Amino acid sequence: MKKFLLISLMVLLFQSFGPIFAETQITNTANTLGELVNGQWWVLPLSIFIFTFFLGIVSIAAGIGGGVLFVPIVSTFFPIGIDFVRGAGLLVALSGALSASPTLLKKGLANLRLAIPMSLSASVGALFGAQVGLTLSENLVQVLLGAAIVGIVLIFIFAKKSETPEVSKGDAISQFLGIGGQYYEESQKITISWKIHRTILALFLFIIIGFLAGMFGLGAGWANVPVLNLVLGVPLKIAVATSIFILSITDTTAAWVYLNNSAVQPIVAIPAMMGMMLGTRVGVKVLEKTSPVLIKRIVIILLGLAGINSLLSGLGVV
Amino acid sequence: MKKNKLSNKSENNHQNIKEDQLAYAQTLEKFLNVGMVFIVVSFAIYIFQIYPANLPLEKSIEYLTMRATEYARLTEAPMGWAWIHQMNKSDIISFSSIVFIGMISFITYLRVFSLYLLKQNTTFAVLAFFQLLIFIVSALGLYISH
Repeated sequence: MKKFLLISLMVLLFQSFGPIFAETQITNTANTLGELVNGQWWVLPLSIFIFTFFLGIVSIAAGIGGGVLFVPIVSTFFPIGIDFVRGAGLLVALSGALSASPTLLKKGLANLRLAIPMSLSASVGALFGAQVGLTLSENLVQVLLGAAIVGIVLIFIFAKKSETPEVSKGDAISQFLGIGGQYYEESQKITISWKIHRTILALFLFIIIGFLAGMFGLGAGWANVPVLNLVLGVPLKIAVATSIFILSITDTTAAWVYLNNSAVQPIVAIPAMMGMMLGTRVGVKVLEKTSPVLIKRIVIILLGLAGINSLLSGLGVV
Repeated sequence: MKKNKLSNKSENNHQNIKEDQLAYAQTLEKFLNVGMVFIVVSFAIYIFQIYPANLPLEKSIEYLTMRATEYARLTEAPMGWAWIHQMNKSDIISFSSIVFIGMISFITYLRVFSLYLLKQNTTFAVLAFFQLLIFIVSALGLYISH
């Protein structure tokens, strides 16, 4: 029954936006977006709000960050310039991360001292990535975005996870910084202590992650979590929560570059932020006990198609 | 005795971690709540056209298929912080609410930076300082070549 409801929700979502999807194909013949919405300016923000609301529900059910879904899907299905989609995408990821962070920090799931050095590295990358992203040609952005999305899909499919990685001894840097901690694992009813290693490698990887997040306006949870969990050896729960918190800092840095370059328009960004935040809140309540496997598969297929579409349109094939 | 000292140090460290983390969370929560109200109210002012906009909604929509540089050139949209001189326009008021959201992490970092200075935690004070510098560089658009 739940599976049926989820599939119905997905079908309804895509049927509702059928006309908009179809209109994407008209972009080449219509001179402006104004012609597409036929003078009814409110159609666009309302469509974005409803679309991102459902995207928020789906992203929660699939366990995939809303930011990473927003850019490829909205740039594929809405006739909005890629810069404005990326600007809005960063704000979607940022507002979601900011909203979740206070609770995660208070509960001790996100770790501030782990996040501070990693965020600093990621922010340096994001600053350059955002600047580079805004200077590249649209076709090149589409090709690189498509390649990145296909890569992210592969990470979602093949990346391994480790609930509680074994780190026998923290490395010198992490010991100097005093990074580590304890948390109570409710499922096992035990307190788990954790330390980290390979800090230098992780700092370097976070520069690359920040660069990609800034360049494409994507939330970077898909990359943060594997680096925190598999490279540094942070327990999965702490890695997921700290990743969300790191996003709030990295995306702030990148968002400023977009804000300063007129690449953030309230009429696109605010309905997207509101829709996503409301959608994720409803998603948590409605789909809390639903098995996410099916919906995750659907979302990964959708993301893969959006990535391939972006790649092909950038290459001028479609 | 040595063990006790170590234990005390560890407890103090633990307290420090809790204190900076809690301070960050509380500051973030306060400013985020303000930011959310600001976003909703200013967006309502914009879409219900309570004040005139710098660029009317209909016009704004027309140019959204373009790249940001082209949009800025055609609409003469304010770049960098130039928008601050047009705060009587509804689209700019709405834009400023997004800017406020972009400033929240800066404010929370200022809070923990001062806490680290107070607690003489030099290492994290330096790291927080560099993060603040990155925020300033990106917010002031010091990298913008045009």
